[in-house]
Amino acid sequence: MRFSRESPSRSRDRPVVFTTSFIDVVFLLLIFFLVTATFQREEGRLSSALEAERASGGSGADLVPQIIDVRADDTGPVFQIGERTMRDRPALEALLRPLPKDPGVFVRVYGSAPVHAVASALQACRDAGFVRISYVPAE
Amino acid sequence: MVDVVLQLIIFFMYTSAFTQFVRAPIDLPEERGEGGEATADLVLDIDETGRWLVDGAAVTPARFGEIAQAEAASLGIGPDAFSVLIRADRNLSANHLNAAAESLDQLGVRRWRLGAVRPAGGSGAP
Repeated sequence: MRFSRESPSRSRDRPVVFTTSFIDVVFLLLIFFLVTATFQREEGRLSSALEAERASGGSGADLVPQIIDVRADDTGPVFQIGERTMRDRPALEALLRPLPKDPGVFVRVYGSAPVHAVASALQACRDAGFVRISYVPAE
Repeated sequence: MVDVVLQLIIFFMYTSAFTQFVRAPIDLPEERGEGGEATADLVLDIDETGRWLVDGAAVTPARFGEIAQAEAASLGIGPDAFSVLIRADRNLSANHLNAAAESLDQLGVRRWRLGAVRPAGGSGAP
């Protein structure tokens, strides 16, 4: 008595795929992608955007003089608010914290400044609690 | 076992292709940022030589304006709602950033973002 669902002749005719070497191919592919992959720090997942609003000629309320000048000299980036001059972001942030936040702040960027100094100034404004940050290109 | 390996292959295929096609390799400033994803309707890369790149291709400021207008039109939004992410080399002179800001202003784009990467340490404070 046979319990097989297929007859011996049918199972004999069915094509057989040998999968033994498949794992070798898969491992080779894995090694290839491991070697060629570039592990970059993803920007999107790192919450890495700083937003700036381009300043324009506006109402008188926009002219409240909370202006940070960002420039560079021989020794590196310089941040200036009025008469106060700072060279690092923590000092700039400490000076910005007590300022009123409602009028916003203008970041006036001179061409001599490096981009990382601009980013530092924008970050200091954010960390100090400013929401309205206007970017002003300067000559 | 083979299932796990296949999953790993799919992961590496996906991540490697993503980083190559979407973002050009640029040495961005290291800052914590303001939260949220660094997504935008259009990404402008400015490399260490000051070249403007869109999707890896060098463009002139005029061409960039055309691309931005076409992109906004295809999305069906005005320049006020159009968002641009500027990814500029950290050591580049801000002259290039100012030029990009002026260009966006002429297009009517009021808001843009400056790309940065979170410092490897994690806190963000230099």
